[in-house]
Amino acid sequence: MNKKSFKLFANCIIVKGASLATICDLHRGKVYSIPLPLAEFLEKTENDDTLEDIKKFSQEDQETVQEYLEYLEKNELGFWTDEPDRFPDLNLQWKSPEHINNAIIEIEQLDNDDLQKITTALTNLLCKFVEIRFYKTIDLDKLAFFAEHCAKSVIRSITVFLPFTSKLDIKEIEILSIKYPRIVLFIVHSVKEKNTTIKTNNPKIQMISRVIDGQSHCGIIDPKLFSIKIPVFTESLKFNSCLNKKLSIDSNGNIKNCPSMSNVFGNIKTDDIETVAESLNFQKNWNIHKDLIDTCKDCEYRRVCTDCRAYVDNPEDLYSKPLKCGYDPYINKWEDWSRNPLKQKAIKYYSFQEFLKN
Amino acid sequence: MILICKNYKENNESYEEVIDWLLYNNAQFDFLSGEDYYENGKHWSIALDNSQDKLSIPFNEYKSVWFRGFLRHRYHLEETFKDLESTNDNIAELRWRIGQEIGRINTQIFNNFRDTYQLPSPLSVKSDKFSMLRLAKELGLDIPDSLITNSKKELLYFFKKQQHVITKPLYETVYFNDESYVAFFKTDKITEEVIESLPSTFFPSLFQGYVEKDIELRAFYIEEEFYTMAIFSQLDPQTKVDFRNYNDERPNRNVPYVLPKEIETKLKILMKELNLNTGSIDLIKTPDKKYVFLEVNPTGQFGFVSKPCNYYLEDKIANTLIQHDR
Repeated sequence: MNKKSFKLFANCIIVKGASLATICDLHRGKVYSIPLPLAEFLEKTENDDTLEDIKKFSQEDQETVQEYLEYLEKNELGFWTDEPDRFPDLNLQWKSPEHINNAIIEIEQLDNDDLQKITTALTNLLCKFVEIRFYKTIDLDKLAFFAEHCAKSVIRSITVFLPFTSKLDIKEIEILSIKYPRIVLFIVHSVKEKNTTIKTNNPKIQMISRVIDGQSHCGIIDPKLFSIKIPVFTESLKFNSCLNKKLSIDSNGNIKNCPSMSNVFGNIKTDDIETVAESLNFQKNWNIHKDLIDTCKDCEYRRVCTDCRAYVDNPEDLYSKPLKCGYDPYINKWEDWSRNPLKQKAIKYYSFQEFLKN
Repeated sequence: MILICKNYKENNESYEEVIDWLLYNNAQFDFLSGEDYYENGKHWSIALDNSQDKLSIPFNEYKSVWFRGFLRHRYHLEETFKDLESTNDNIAELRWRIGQEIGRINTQIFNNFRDTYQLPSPLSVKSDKFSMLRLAKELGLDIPDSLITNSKKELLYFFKKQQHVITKPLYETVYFNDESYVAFFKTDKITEEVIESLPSTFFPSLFQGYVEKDIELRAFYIEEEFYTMAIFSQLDPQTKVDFRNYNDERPNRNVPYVLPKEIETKLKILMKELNLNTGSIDLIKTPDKKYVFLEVNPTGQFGFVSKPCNYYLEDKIANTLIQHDR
């Protein structure tokens, strides 16, 4: 019989952590945990004679490896081939045709002049995705003004966060959702359970009970937020998994990487948004990729996970682990981050920050 | 300036992404569609006499043309046809004649691209499947056994020999929407029962022996380069005959693939003979490692190859257009 190699499909990629590895199935959007020795075996055997390689294990281990390979084959993560060279690895290059990919706008305090500047900049920067946040008040005219001025942009989608208030007019929102197809989602937050009087069948309008009344709600790390896709995986190899090509305008018109971060690079009243966005200084944080970040660099989920540079374990350290992550890749356990004794100092630090702001 | 030739009614994501790359590279581009000539009331003419040959809509500024499509005849003069009172036969004949006239006029419009880089040339995109197969065979590529016949006897004989037979249109795959049903003009498996139910002669059609698959291959070809993808359609009974019977729960595995050099060389010659500098080539790799050529789609989709293989074909296309725009 010809020699046969066991190979993972090119879009099922091994990521090794400190004590476990994952196979990231970037095609079907799933992550599988596997033991490190198996990961190493798979990497070594993919262009080899796999059956011969298996024989090098002890009798007992041979069976385990066989079982694993059967599992991987059955779940269509890998296949046997006698022509492994015909199946090259995935090209891991990442690039994207925009200067800014996504923008967060805290819109409440901004006036129409500001919005006009922002839409012009987003158009020229070829921005694709926009998130508009209303924390405490609603002004749908402002939203309509913004959407109207995006007409010539390449913006693919606008997501709007709105608080539930007595002034919320669901009919008005429905009208906007039809008039501006680029607004793909309205998320009405802070909906209390007794407020079920307001109903809509519009799939673009979602009601959630979570209260999103300020920036501190961001930065959560959770497997539910994993994005198991080729562009996310490849981008994470060299760039930050949250901030890369992101632009934020906070409620004071400050130009930032992220509204929750304290670094200000300019203000839309005095500075040109495009110039700021294209400056090296503004883009510095884009390069903080997972392999530079404490703990994340040893985590088997680092290629599919999000990141947060606004809230970290050690606020003095730019390369510190995200505060709101409860995973420990050294013992492979998820715990409630907010109860972790080692994080209490940082938690206090950020609530103190909040207090100073108010 | 780059000219993007397309049917305005058709849009898709991978097409949009090429535009994104053009914008990102600050390329100048315009759009052109058959609708500009036939539907929007703009004045134009092609003048040919002893001293001149010119189209009144000037093409000189365009150095690079991306051809994705032009016009869908069937929507044409819809209003006029609605009010027309005549026999069905006459109306059918008239529609066909108008389609033919449009085809001839389009050829004259496209003639104005002759000094321009074209990806691909619109005059090369309409070859038929049987001619492609003949050419492929002449170049030494494996092809499925193919038969055009109107004879039940011949078809039965072919079936006995092949065991599995499919039929497909010689021209394009198309479907007809009615209020109550959708009728397809597409690749389909032919069973013995179907053949038995046929009259002794029938409308001549193309039949092919079903080719055993190890994997299906889609090779996107652009300017001498191949970006090939293997489709593992055989793992799933639902996609065994045609991978387009998508299984959304568990999509077919699609991964990059490297064709043998000698197959690439033959395909390159084939593309040159067809005067195509780009296209999507369909192949099957059989369990005994033969590469069977099926067809070329000159303006086929490329996003479904580009994305799973991370090939960035959208950028490659944009770049090719930009390079020729200098």
